[in-house]
Amino acid sequence: MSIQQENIISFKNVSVTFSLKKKEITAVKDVSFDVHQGEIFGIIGTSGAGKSTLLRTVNLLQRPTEGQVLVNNEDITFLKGAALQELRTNIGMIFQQFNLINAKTVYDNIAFVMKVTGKGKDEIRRRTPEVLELVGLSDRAQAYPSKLSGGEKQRVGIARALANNPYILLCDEPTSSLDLENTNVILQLLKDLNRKLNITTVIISHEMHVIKKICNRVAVMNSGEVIELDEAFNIFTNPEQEYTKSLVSHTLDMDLPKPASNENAKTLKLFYSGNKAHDAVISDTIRKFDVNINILLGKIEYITCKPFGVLVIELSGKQENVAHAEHYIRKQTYRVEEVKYVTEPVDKEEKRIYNNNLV
Amino acid sequence: MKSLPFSELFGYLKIAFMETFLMCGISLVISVLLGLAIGILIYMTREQLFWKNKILHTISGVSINIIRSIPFIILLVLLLPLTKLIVGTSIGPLAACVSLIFASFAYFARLVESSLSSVDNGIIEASRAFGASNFDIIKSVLLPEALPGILRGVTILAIGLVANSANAGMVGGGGIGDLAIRFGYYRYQTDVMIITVVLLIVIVQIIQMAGDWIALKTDKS
Repeated sequence: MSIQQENIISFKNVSVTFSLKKKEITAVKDVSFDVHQGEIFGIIGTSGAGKSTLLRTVNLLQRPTEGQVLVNNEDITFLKGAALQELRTNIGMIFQQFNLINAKTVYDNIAFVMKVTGKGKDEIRRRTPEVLELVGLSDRAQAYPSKLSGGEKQRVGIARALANNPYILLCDEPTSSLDLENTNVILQLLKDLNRKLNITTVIISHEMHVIKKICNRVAVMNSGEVIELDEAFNIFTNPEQEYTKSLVSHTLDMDLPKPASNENAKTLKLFYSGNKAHDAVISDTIRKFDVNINILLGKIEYITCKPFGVLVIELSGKQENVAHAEHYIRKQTYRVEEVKYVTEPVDKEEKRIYNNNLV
Repeated sequence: MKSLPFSELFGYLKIAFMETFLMCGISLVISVLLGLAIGILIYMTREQLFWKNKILHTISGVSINIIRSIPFIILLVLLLPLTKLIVGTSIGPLAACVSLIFASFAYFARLVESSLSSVDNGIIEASRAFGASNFDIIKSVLLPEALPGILRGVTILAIGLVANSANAGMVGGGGIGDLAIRFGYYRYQTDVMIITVVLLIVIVQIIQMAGDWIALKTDKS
C-alpha cells in the first residue's frame, strides 16, 4: 500500500526461548514486522507455530528473550509495575476459552477489569452497560457465565476487553471453540467494532476461513518464524511459500476425481479476481482455437470482501490447439494452474468402490 | 453400677455438647484462617504465574507434611507444654483447641491448595492481561473461583474436628466423645454410649448437609 501507515505495534527481531528440562525450545524466532493503526491483522499457522507466544509479547504476558516490541512507538519490552499496568489497560484481549470468571456475573466480570485499573464506581456503572450494548448482550448483565452459550461468552469476553477503551485488541483463537454460526457472528462483530472504534485488531488462528473473512493483512508463521507476510488477498490468491500454499489449498479445497477424458485433454484451474470478465475468456477461447471446454467446477470465494473466482475447466481438442488455447487463457486470467488429481485408487477393491461412486 | 437418671444424663450431655461446640468452633475458625493463609502461600510459591519460590514452597510444604504425619494422639501429648504456655493450663476445652488446631490447619492448608490449583490458569492469565495485580487476582479471581471447593473443605474439616475432639477428651478436653468414653465405655452404660453416638451422628449429618448446601449455593460453574 502506498499510503503512509502509522505503526501501532512493531516487532523488532523478537525471539522467545523457553528452557524445559535443560532443553532450549525456541517458540518465536527473530520475528520482525509492523501492525498498522486500524487494521485487522491476522497471524496464521498450525498449532505450535509460535503464534500465541508472539501475540503475548504485545501485552507482556510473555516477555521476549531477545529483540524489542514497540507499542505506539514506545519500547515496552522492559516495562514493569504501573507502566506495565497502564500498557495492559490500553490493550484488550480475548481468548479461545473465553476465560471469564465463573463466580462473577457478566456485569461483575466487566466491572472487575475496570476496577483493577482504578476506575471509579460511577464510571463503571456508566461504561458497563455501554460495552454490553456494543456486543448486544444488554439483557444478560446479571447472568453467570455458565448460563451463556459459547458465542455469548465470547461476546462477554469482547465486552470485557473493550471496557477500558483500549486501542489494540488481541484475539487468541477467538472462534476456535465455537460452532460455525457463532464463529460468523463473532467475526462480524470484530469487524464492526474495528470499523466503529477504529481499534487495531490482531487475530491469531489456525483456521484459514477466519483469516479469509476479516483480515486485511496476514503473517504466516511456521515453527516460530514468519515466513510470509502480505495482504490477505494476495496470501490466498497467490501464496509464495510451499507451506502457505498447503494451508491455502485446504480452504480452496477442489480436488477432483479424474474424469474419463481423452489423452489430449488438459485440466486447468483458473483464478480470477473479479475485475476480469471470465466467461468471455471461455467463449473467446472456444471460438478462436477450435477446442472444447468442459466446465468441471466453479466457485467464488470472498477474501476480506473481495471476490475471488476459481474455475476448473477441461480443455480438449487437437494437441496444437490446446497448447495455443492454454497460452491464451494464461494471458487473460489472473493465474492458471494445472490441476493435480487425487491419487487414483490402486487397490482392486478400492477401484470398485471408486467406480461405483462415479456411477 | 446403676444407670444415670435421665435428668442427670441430660445435664451432662448439655455440658458435653457445649464443650464440643466450643472446641470445634474455636478450632474451626482458627484453622480455617491459618490453613487459608498457608494454603495460599503453598500455591503461590509453586505457580509460575505468581511468586514461584522453590525454597519457600519446599519449607512450607515439608512443615505441613510433618505436622500431618504425626498421629493426633501423639500430637496431643507432644503439644502439652506449648498448650500450657498459651492457655495457661493443659486441661479443658480451650487447652484441647491448641492440638486440634495444629492437627487441622495443616490438613486444611492442603485442601485449600488443591482447590486453588483447580482454578483455570486461563482465567488468571486473562485477569493479568487486563492489568490486575496479584492481590486483585487472589481476592477477586482465585478465592471466588475456588470458594465452592474451599467450602467443601471446611465441611470435611469440621467433621474431622468433631471426631478429633472425642480424642481430645482423653487429655481432659471434655465434650461428647469424652462423655461416651467415660460413661459408656468405662462404666458399661450402654444407653449413654448409644445416646452420645447418636448425637454425634446427628451433628455430623447436620454439618455435612449444611456444608453441601452452602457449597452448592456458591457454585456458579
